[in-house]
Amino acid sequence: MDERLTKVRSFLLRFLIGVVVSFGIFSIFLVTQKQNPLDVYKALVTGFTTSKYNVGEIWVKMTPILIAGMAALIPAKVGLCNCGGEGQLIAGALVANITGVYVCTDWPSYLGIPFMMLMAALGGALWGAIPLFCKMKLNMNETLTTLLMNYIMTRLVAYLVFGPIKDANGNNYPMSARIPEQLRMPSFAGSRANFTIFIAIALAILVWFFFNKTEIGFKMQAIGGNERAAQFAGYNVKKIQIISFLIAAGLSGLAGGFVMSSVEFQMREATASGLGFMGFLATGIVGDNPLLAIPSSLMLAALSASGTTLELSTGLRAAASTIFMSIILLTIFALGKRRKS
Amino acid sequence: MGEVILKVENLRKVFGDFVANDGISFEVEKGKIYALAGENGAGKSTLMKMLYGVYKIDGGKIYIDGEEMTKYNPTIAREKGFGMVFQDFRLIPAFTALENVFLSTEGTGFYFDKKTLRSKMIALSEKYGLSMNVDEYVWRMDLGQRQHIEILKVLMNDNCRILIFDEPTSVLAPNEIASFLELLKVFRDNGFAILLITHKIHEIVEVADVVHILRKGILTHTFYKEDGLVEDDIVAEMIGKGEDSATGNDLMKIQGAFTGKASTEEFKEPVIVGKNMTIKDDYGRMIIYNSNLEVSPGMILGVAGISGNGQRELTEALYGIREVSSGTLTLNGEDIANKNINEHLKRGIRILSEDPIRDNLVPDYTVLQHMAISGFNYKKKGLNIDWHDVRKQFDECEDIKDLNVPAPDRRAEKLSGGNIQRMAFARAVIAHPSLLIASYPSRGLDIATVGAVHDTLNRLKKEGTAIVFISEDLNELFTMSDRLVVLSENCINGPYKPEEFDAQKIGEIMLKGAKE
Amino acid sequence: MDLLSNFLLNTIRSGTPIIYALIGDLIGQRAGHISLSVEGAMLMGCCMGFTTCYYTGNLPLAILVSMVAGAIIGFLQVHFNIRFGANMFSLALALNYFATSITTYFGAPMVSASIKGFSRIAIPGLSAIPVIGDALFNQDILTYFTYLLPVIAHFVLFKTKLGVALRSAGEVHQVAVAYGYNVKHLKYGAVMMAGMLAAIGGCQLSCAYTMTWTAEMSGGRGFIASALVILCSWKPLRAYFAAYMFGAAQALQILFQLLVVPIPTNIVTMAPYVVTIIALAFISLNKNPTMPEELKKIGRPLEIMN
Repeated sequence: MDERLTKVRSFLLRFLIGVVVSFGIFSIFLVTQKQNPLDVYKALVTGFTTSKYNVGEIWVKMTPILIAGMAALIPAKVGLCNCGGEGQLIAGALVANITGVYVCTDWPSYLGIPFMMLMAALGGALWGAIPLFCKMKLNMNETLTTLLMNYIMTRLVAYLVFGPIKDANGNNYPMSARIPEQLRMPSFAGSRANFTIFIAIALAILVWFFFNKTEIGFKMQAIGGNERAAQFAGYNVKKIQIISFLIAAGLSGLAGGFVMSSVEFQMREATASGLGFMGFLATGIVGDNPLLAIPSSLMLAALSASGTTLELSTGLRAAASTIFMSIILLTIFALGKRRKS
Repeated sequence: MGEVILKVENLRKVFGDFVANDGISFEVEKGKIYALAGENGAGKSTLMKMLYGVYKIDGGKIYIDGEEMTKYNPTIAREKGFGMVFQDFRLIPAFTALENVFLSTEGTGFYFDKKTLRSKMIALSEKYGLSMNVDEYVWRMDLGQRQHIEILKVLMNDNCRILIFDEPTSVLAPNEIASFLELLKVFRDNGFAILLITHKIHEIVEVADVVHILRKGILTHTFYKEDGLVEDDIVAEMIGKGEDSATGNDLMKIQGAFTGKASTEEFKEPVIVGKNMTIKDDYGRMIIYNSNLEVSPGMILGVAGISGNGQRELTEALYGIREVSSGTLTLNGEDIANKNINEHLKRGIRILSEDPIRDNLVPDYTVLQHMAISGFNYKKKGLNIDWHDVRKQFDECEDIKDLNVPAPDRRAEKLSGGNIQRMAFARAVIAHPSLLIASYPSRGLDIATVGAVHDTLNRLKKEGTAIVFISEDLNELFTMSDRLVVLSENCINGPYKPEEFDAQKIGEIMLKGAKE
Repeated sequence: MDLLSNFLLNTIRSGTPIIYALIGDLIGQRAGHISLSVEGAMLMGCCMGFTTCYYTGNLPLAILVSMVAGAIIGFLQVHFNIRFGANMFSLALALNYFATSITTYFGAPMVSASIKGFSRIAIPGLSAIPVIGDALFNQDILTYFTYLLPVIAHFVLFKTKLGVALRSAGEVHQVAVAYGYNVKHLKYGAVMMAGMLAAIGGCQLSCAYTMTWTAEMSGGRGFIASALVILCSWKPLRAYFAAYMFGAAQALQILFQLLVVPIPTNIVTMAPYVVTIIALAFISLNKNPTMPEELKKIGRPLEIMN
């Protein structure tokens, strides 16, 4: 137990150092862009502390990032690499939209929303099932296939919003119709955030509990540790891997559904893009620890949401916040355990 | 009197407080074979590494061609004509023999001149009778051929005049050993000096001109061929008179001799019966074809054979992780072929795999956690495993103490090979299996633990466990087995009774299969 | 026949960046390190090369700048893995993200600008051959080099000491060390070369093929190249087939537009990715014994700090 506490403590310390160093590096960048670093950071902080809306934006982003993080983490625990959270999430959003617009149009909220979410999860699971099949039946490397599937999904969405699901009343813009009012999730006053953030956090805690405190979680991690050893122990490796992967992809889809029903309401080319990927990174930098994924997702969500704030207050192009984020990510990598050369 | 190439005086090597070698002095002449004999841990390897420049000497002097070597390392050693053939073959299976030799040779420049290298290799291999296809991939070669490549590597150095071999015959089959010994004589007659590190008495007696005995790091005695080499004398000197005489097992291991067991042991009806079994390997080849196997409770069935003859496939089929393509396999009359592993585990079948790191090790998990994976029967606390219970069982288990299993909180990835072996073996036996499949259980273990392993197996035997026991050491097999089968020519040959345990005969069967 | 010639032309031009990234990652994988960051390296080369062309018009300088940018990505990929123990996949994705963010930001002012990049140079005589002459022998210089690149890679990997040493590092690490080769240096060199080559490929994409720049222009070509390394069974000479297969899938888009084939553009743009996955399926069915051993040992994808 002590060993684990010191590990967590050392990790948090490294995390903090990483953030501080990144601030330093980013400041250099800011100076080259003729910005005063202190002004920028002040703008960031005030942007978030003074506006309930801005704070809400953090939760809005954090929900899908955290859930997508779980979607990357769970397969990793059983030895699979799911880089397709991005596409699976978008698939979920897409399916939620189609369900909302064409199927549940007249359903009451208490039926329509859960049904939409279920469909979204199924959509994500289905999109994940394809590379899963390739891996299980054809022994294809799932890292690459899931990555490639992301690109296919974005093009599929592009095709759909330019054609089949284009909003007839949308002035010919490439976007889908909006889901009906009653199927949109109620948000907190003053922001776009809603209760789904609690679901996301609860999920992360559940995942942590599952892996650390249950027999099945123990077996799953054994599979991830050495698949052959798990086979020797009589564990049903393939079945567990398949179920885990599908659940994970489904969670991504669910996150997409949340996004559609909470903030987007319609499908455009860029809808929900980047969230699945950030979820992957969020758990990647904390060594697949579900609890640590919570602060990690929070940080990434805050940074991601800061883009617009930055642009508004400093004139810096929104892309600058992504630079800041990538600096932080790389710095955290650099502070990982030193390998004895 | 041959020309003295190498002379050492009072060589000494320490590691911290431990004195590995002390006061070693001898001379090496051209055209003679020197054997360095001693038990495991006597300091032979350390001495060799000093002679080859891998270790710095902590005391004493090395003279080559009469000149004192104040500076010495492997590069200088090679320049002076030393060639060391290592026990672990440093070969890349995916490369050809040619590419492997190219990798190891220095000064061959930028361009890979295949033609020149090939002709040189062929010339050398023909000269010394080292048969091989230079363009063959190493993964297709057997161990004897791989050793030939290692020897060729050393011979590529034109200066080469001293050959050092470290336990060269430990991986060879009996006939390969015979041709290897002939090879040594060819080298000797061609003027090479040969240093042979070994503990195999037969071989020493057959080829050595001079035998140095190492015991506890010190050169205790030297025997000369002209005086006549007597096996028993050599063995006695290796073990030492009086103080810490070895156990019966060790003696037999050293002597290369054996004592048969009581031949008329009757056994009950076999509990594991395999009939007409055909088992395929990973490439779909029928590595065991149409063979039978029977094991009774309380019987240790030894399995001999040159490695690569289906040992792994047989054990995996018995354990259920590999398909029995045709034929039947039953336990107490119930079909166990091709059932899933959980069934096997429930029926009390346990395995110690030939490669526990590959097959059993979960790097992040502790020793205790490993014990919960098909080891102890644990109780559950709600959704979770009751770890207190597991820990209690661990602390109270006799087998675990006897086998020196490492501490329960140690992470598996940090364990040494020997410790991993202990853990894996302990896990297999604590479940009081009805069938235990033990592959090379003594591998990587020190003499004391090997004794504990053998004791455990004997105890399980008395309790009625059926044991399938695979080993590459014929002596160990002869000592421990009640019956013996030999895997060769895609067949399970045997079973043979103890009165038939003859190294010559079994060795022949290992090579050519039984004639019937 | 004009259409066919045009199709072949585009096949080759589209295949060029792939060959660069493919050979690059292949060399790295032969040394035992998978560089999914070739995607980011390619993007960096794309943007940096274009920027240099845009502001200086100096073509050799553009190539040089691309190479440096790519080498930096490659360096980070291997250094962070060897020195800091970062997991090579997560690291690669983070590096790609880094490349995306930097290039999107700094490239913003140049979006949709056009430059006079690498013009096509016709080889006299050969380029007059009907149908294939224009496609094969009337290309830019960066494409011409890709005709030789796989052959050079093959030669180095199989016929030189350096290549044999590099492959040994990717097969049995310990043996390479035992024979005194500096495996670390070999890996650093190989992975940085991967980044460098991929970046040159990116440079070709923006400065020779399209003569424009848009954000995230590489569009997954780096990942496709990484996947195609498997298709090639790690043998450089097969790169021609793999890259031009992709190139053909890309060229299809243009062909379909010209032929007014009623398949929506967005579906056609899926083709390269789908084709790559199908190709991967075929190769995975064959149990290839040519995968470098060290790559087989790479497990547990998502761990960095533990």
